[in-house]
Amino acid sequence: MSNNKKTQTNSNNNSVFIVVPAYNEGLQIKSVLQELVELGYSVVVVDDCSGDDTLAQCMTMPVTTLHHVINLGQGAALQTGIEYAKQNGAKYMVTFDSDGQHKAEDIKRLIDALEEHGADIALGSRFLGEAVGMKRSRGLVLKAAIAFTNWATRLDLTDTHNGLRAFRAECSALLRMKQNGMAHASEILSAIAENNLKYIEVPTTVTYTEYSQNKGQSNLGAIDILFDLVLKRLLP
Amino acid sequence: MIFQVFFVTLVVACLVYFLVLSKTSAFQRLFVLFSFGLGIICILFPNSLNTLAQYVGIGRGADLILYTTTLYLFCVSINYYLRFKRQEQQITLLVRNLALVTPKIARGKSEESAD
Repeated sequence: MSNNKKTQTNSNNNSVFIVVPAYNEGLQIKSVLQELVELGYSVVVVDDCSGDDTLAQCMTMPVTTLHHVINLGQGAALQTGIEYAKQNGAKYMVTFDSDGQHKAEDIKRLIDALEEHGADIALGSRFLGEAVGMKRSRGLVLKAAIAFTNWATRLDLTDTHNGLRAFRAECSALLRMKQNGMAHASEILSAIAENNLKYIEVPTTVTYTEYSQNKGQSNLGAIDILFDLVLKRLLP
Repeated sequence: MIFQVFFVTLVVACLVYFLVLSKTSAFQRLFVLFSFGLGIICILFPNSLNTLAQYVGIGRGADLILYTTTLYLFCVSINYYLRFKRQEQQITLLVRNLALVTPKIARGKSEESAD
């Protein structure tokens, strides 16, 4: 992405808060957090009332762990982490999935893109980058969801439902998510369009493992996206 | 006659139950009193309902009841939907603030020592 390679020290990464929503990720969460910690980021993991040992696993790591006493959904967990980051002096906030599908090294590319282009929000794109191990059916469903989302929001994106994004802390109030469940991804895009935020897409890698495919959303999620975007305009 | 006695008793029992037990505003109490009163009149004089139905352009009194009940239930479910949404937001804020005031920070090892 950048040809003038910035030397980012660990102290620089301190003001970058990585928000990781976690629900029943006990098997994988430690290795995901380990990578982020090693890069010197401030990590906030939000345990959304997991039934397994996710909370205990997180508490052994040098990260901030927040715990929802009841399960609210991914959107609510992200918003909780974002609010913690705001209260603790974050300059940039990054959303990062807890199932190991994202690459920690991609975060730097997102932050660099924000700084170089003066953008408000940088969105990861697996179609500009790489989608390792993605099934053909998933690719087709995503393409359809992307076409529809672009039409509904009037944005021009190559990947609309990627969990890896970075934005400036000042924008977090505009991006405030009210949808507790998975609809927050569409909600963020609507907020970008409504507030005319300056966005940029950055090539990132999504790795589909057997674990992430079992944990992740089914292709039927595309129908949810359709309803989220349409109904959002009709119902409060 | 049996029908009238049975239903009027039922309606009056419901009304007393509502007025004694529920803590609603004076306006809501008056509305309930009014609609229950209307209900009793309809039970005692079934033909009055037919006349009213014909006056507003619906064939039978029973149809009039069906339509108004459908409309009423629709309003009730929208009311409950909005109330449910509001409550969901309140619970979210409650859980979020609880999470924010009790952050669990484990700093067993320093970040540099991680290998």
